[in-house]
Amino acid sequence: MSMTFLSEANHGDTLSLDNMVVLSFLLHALILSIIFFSPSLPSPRWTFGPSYTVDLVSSPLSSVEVRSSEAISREAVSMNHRNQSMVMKKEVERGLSAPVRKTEILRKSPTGNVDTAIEGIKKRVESATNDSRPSTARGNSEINLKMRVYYSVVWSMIKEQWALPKSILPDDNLEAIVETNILRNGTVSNLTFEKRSGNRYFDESVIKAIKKADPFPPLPEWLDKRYITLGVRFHSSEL
Amino acid sequence: MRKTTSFLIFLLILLWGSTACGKVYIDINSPAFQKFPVAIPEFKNIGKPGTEKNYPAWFADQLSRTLKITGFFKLISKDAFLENQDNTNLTAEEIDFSNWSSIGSDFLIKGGFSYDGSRLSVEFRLFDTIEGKLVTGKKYWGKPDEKKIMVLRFADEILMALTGKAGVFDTKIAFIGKKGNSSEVYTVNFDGSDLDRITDFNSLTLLPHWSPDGSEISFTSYKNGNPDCYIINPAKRKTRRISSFSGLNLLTSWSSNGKQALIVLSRDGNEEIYIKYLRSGKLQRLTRAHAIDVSPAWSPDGQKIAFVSNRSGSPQIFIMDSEGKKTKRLTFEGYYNSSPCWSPDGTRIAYAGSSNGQFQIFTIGENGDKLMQLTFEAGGGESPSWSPDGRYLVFSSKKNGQGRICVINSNGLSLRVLPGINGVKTYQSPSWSRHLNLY
Repeated sequence: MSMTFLSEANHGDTLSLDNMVVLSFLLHALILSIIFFSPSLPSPRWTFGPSYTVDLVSSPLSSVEVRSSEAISREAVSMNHRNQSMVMKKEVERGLSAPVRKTEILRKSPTGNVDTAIEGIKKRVESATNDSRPSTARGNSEINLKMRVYYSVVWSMIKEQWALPKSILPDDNLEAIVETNILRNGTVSNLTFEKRSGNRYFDESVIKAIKKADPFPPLPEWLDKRYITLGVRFHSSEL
Repeated sequence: MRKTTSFLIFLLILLWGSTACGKVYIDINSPAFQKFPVAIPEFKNIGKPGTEKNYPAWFADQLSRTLKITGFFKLISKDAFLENQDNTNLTAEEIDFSNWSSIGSDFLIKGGFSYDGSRLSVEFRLFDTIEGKLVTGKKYWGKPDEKKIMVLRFADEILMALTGKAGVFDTKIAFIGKKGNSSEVYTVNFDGSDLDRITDFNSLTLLPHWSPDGSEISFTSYKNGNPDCYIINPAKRKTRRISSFSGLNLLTSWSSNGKQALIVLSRDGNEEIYIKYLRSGKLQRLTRAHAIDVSPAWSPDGQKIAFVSNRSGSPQIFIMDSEGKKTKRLTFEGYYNSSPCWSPDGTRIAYAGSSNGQFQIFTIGENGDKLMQLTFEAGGGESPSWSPDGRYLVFSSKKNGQGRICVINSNGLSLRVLPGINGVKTYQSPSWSRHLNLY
């Protein structure tokens, strides 16, 4: 499109090339601004630049699914106002002084964490119910929320498939980051390590978890992308 | 020039705009399952048809039991299997792995055997169902009564391939079983099989401890009226008395070369810790406190000794150097902590600590950090002892009046109870051997 425009300008009788370049620049800036700032237009496909982080420490999926759309919208408005990032991470209790109590933390089951997270989301919904904020930001938030729900499903599917006895790992927390592309139909097209943990068994297990979870649900229909790129960070311990 | 500038500005806007749709990261903390899902269909007779009809199920069951005991595997139920049981395919090219991955199995173990009337030949293959490839495979030959050894050997191969360490299948556990007024030393294989009574003193017997090479077991017995210390060779049933001072003679830890032992004597009025040189009989006193000092345990490198003392009031665990100096207190939680035992890598110490009026098993870092309670059951836990690979702990407990010997993974998961002995109500002081090269 831009090439065509420049070509026509070269044939103009009255406008100089410099003026045309400036005009071209302004028009591009205007078009790009409309594309990037309008919530109703599809997102562009470029994936470079800084990354978002969506912390999904415990599954909010079951809770998200059963809520009414009204409740979801209210929560989205409320969350959007409080914090622009999409954080669904529970508050983790830290720095307990008595070692015996530390052991209780170590013994917490994953189920317990999910329960806590669901409780946390319920509380957020309750607080959002009383929120009388106007709904001007609703469109953008709903898009974010829909993607968040999709990421929740992906998170849940990978988590469900991750099997590794932790007692074969060193005491230190390991981290591996796997980059993957999810195609429109939900299948995984690429799996590469952005960061290896240094432990062969850990790295093998995280690749296996994604492969077992493949395919994911198709990408949301409104998302005008051939694929999305996802970074999946695996940690050996609860953070 | 202007052209270039304009292009650069355009490029900047493009890059700036693109930040609105960057790569999204999601965090997944801690595996959902602490076990490898594995499917083991019946082995196939790949030799003369109709022979050894119970072998197909026996191999699958024995391997399943062995892997389950490790605490690292979740066995997929046979009811879930999709593959036709008559399928004899044993190679990656012939196996339809989707039949196995779709039922949630990460790994598949297939095997085949042939028996010609004198020699049994068995093939074992471990497959990765997600990658659709062979992980490891072995073929063993032997007599039919060696088939359990074949299974244990391949179980070792599986553990080595999937966890980086061999199993503890060639180890034994020694413990005290009490019947009526007498107690004896027993040994049992890691899986509870091959129970063997080692002593026959018909008296009170205490504290068995394996020598580092697994050829001997030390213990204390009231056979001659006084709690004297003995060493027995279980294979030859040959016993020798090594310490018979008046009062307690308790050997609680061997040095890694087997030439010295830490021994507690009460000959001077209260319990003190000594090093006993087993060949010369020489004693080196390490503690000189008015308090009671017991249960000394050497660190694997022999540089430190953990022990129990009531010098600060209640019994707590202390650490001193190998000369009995530089003593520091290790435990501060709980009013009664006892029976310290160093992990084979020397980084952690397991002990029994009083919690809510009952002893439970804890582990703690050698610097007093990372305290972790492993057992929470009503039966409690006492006298922990590490497996030679540091992945398990064995301990004694008593539930509803019935004693038992339990094994737990060192992260507190997969508790299992060893089979009991008829008439034995109390079990005490289990001690895990080093690798014994049994097969």
